[in-house]
Amino acid sequence: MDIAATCINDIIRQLEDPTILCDPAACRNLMAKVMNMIGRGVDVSNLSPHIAKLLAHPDPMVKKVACEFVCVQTEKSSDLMLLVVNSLLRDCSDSSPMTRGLSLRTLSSLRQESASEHILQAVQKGLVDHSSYVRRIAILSAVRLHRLSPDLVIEMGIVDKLYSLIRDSDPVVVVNCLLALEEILKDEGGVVINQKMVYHLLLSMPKFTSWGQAYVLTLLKKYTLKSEEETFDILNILDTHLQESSYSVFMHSLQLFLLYISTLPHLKEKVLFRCKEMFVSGLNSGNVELTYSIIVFIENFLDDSKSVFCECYKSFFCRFKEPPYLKIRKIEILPRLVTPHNFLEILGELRMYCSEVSSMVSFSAMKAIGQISKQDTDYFDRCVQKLEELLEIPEDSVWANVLQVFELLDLRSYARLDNLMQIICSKSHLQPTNENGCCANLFLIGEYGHLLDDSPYILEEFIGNYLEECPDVIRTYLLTAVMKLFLMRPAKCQHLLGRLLEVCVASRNKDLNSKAYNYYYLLKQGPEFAKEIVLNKRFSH
Amino acid sequence: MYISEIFITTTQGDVLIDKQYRFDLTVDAKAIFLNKLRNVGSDHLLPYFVQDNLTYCHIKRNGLYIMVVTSCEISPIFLVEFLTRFFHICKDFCGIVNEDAIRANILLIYEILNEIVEFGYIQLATTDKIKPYIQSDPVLVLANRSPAEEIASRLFGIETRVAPSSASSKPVVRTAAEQENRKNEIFVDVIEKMVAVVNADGLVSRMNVTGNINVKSFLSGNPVIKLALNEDLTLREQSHPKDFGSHVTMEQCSFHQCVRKEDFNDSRCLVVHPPIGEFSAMTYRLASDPPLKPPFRLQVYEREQESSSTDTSLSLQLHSHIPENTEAVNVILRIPVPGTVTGISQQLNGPDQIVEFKTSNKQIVWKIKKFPGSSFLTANIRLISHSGIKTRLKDIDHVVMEFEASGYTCSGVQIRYLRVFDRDQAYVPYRWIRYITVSDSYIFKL
Repeated sequence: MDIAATCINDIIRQLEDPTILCDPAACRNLMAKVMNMIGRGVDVSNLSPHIAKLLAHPDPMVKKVACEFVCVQTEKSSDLMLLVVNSLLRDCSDSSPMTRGLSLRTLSSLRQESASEHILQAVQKGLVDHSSYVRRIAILSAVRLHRLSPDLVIEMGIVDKLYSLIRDSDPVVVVNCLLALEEILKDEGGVVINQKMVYHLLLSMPKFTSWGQAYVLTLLKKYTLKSEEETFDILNILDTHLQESSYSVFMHSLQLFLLYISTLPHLKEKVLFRCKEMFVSGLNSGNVELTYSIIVFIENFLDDSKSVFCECYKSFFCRFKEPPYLKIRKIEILPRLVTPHNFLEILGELRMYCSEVSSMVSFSAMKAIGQISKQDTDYFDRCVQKLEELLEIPEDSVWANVLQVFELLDLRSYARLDNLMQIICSKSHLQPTNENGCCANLFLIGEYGHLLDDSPYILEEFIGNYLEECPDVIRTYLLTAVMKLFLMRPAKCQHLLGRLLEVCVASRNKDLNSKAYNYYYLLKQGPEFAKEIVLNKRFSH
Repeated sequence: MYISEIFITTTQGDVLIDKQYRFDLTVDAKAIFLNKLRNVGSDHLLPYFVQDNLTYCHIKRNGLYIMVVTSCEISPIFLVEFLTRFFHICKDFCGIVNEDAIRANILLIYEILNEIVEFGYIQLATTDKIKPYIQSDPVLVLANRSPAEEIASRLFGIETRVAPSSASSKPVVRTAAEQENRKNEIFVDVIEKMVAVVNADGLVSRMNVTGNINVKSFLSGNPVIKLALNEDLTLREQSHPKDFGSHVTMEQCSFHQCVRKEDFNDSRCLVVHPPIGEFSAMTYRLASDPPLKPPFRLQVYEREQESSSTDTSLSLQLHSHIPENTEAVNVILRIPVPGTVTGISQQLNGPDQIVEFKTSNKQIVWKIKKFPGSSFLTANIRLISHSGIKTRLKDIDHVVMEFEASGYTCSGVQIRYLRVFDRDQAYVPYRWIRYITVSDSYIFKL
């Protein structure tokens, strides 16, 4: 017998022991063990009949856990239902609202169609209960019942009852009604929201919990405004919710606001400006998951209302303790926030991230600098120079990453290109160990290698040392590099190209093979034609 | 708009709590989540992702993943805020939230889960509203020093002289029996988190301070309290742009809903009607200009060596500018060095410090237990390189510093007095007011 089964037998034995049953503390302890086992995914269905008895236990805590057990297990043992229904129905009339609520919740969670009549009875009673706690549960229990037998809910007029409860004095009851109707009437488009209700809900907003407010604001999106006058009326009320202490309420208000002014697009940026403080404090909240979610939300506005966020660019700077995924997300946004005014500061900040311990973070910072360089010719030289500085860091991975960024840039206009190529061609780094870095390196030699006298020798040496062990990707890059260099410096590269083409044509790799044949063909057409095709291919578009 | 399941797992993948609200998931969401966690690693696991039409959202606190799964489209902000709220409620009830505390309070957590969400819809989510429906008593778990995220609690760990160190890990919610023999205490903590980049010349190129006045009340009868802040405190919108002086200027501040703001505008007083539980009465952001003087400064020199050696000798001098009667504790300096460095040797000028070299991520870590205000410490570190390439000072780009400075707020925010309006005057309240400034991200550029 395995351990779990022994455990269960042990629990059963204790549950049959009257001294333990009379001791609430011991009973609670036992229940904690059971819940623990459920959490771990142990099959506890053998316990069902024993736990069912505990529904009548005098200790409310034990009763609660027994109910929790029933909710979880109801599908696994259909006999369980028969054991518990009567006891739960009895408790639905208990004098304590807590017990009434608990048993109603449990009863309606019995996912067995044969229970629906009982549930209906209890729900109907619960909807008119004088305790708001019970009403709250009864409303959502009606949705549970609807899932079990939809027709029953519709036929018995529960929908009307729910509509009338929207006027209830308890704010949670009101919100639950809306949510329940939205779900029950899903096929017909959900709860119907008319003008009267919109005003009623908006004016009751302060009474709702912040979650309730968020739900209501979401539902209000369904309402289409009738007139301009009404629009401004409603916007005025909504406006107060744009400065909330809860970010979900803020976000939902903002979304609703923007939806209502979608016909007045000139207002959008103004509204966002008003919300700037909320965004900034959210970004500085120190809650990393929240910061991340707010950034994702902000990304929706970056295309057309960038200026709002360009002003608070500092809020997008990384903090040391933030997890890499958040840093990377922030870094990816920064290039979009660059203005002539903050350019240097953002560049300096990104430069700092380039020496992060996490190479994914540092790589994305390098890529971001590359992005910025493309935005404006004024930025270009400074950005490339910053990247060039990074090459001095004696770290192979940094080297490889910087070269990959260079690969994506058109460096022809860079003032210090000669010097840069000198550094890049310091031979010791050209090794196939880092595949991406090596490819980028070869690419750069092909593209700009004609500026240096000794680039053919570097390639020659590389071929001599590593060609045998090179993976095909690197060989493809190598072939292109040699081809380009040959077209610029035919005399020095002829023998290299010849040797390489021979190897590549014999390769079984399709890409490499077809590339080699392609080059053969181009060369046959004459060097001018080949130059036209090979050298001008990249940056001409 | 409903959620389907909430579960709590450890980083190792043990499921501690699993609460299904709708029983509508056909897949094992826990297994999918844990699988994802294994594949991408905790550093890159996004707080929010969608897989097979299910949305997974989590927060990570104290080595636990608190996770919600839903088949609806719900905004991540909503879900994250809810999970954070749930975490704080658990903290109010259990004192601390970590693996041991959850294991010990498993029934309590299920009770909370049953009250805050009904059939997937969030109902009540404040500690005082839930309190009446909770039956179980919290089981206290002795806390090790809480991890960095929980600054408020950390505070108690530091100042063992004035408050018992376990105070923070006591639940705010008390049982009736406890209520009688519990001291009437109130804790007010002014916590400031600092983000700063300090240039080599000691000038601040960027500084950002967020503050938080945290209140945790154990006063019986929940009386109204009054907190008076510095009178020279100004808000950016009210102050004149050219108005320099020694006063504190705030860019923005916001209050908990239980605080009467009117009194703040007139007299810089907060009149608070504290709810049950721990809450932040006021949060604020300091104006970034004129910049504050940085509390710490680092100078690094390269010392002359015989030219033949490929080793590099560095001399680090760390200056503290915080007042003399205060101190910084748990100071850590992290110095990333290039991969060419294979080892170090060091020489320190004081006790209670260590310098270690972490080969795994090529970092030198200088740990200082206590660092008194207005003093300085020196460390001489020799970087040994076996590769034949000499490390230059400029290969070290920046140094990250972590600290907790107690008894000190970098902004100068102070609480002038704290009054408790206890109508019956049945007791003398114990009032603990504490100040702390911690690094959120404090970087020296070299």
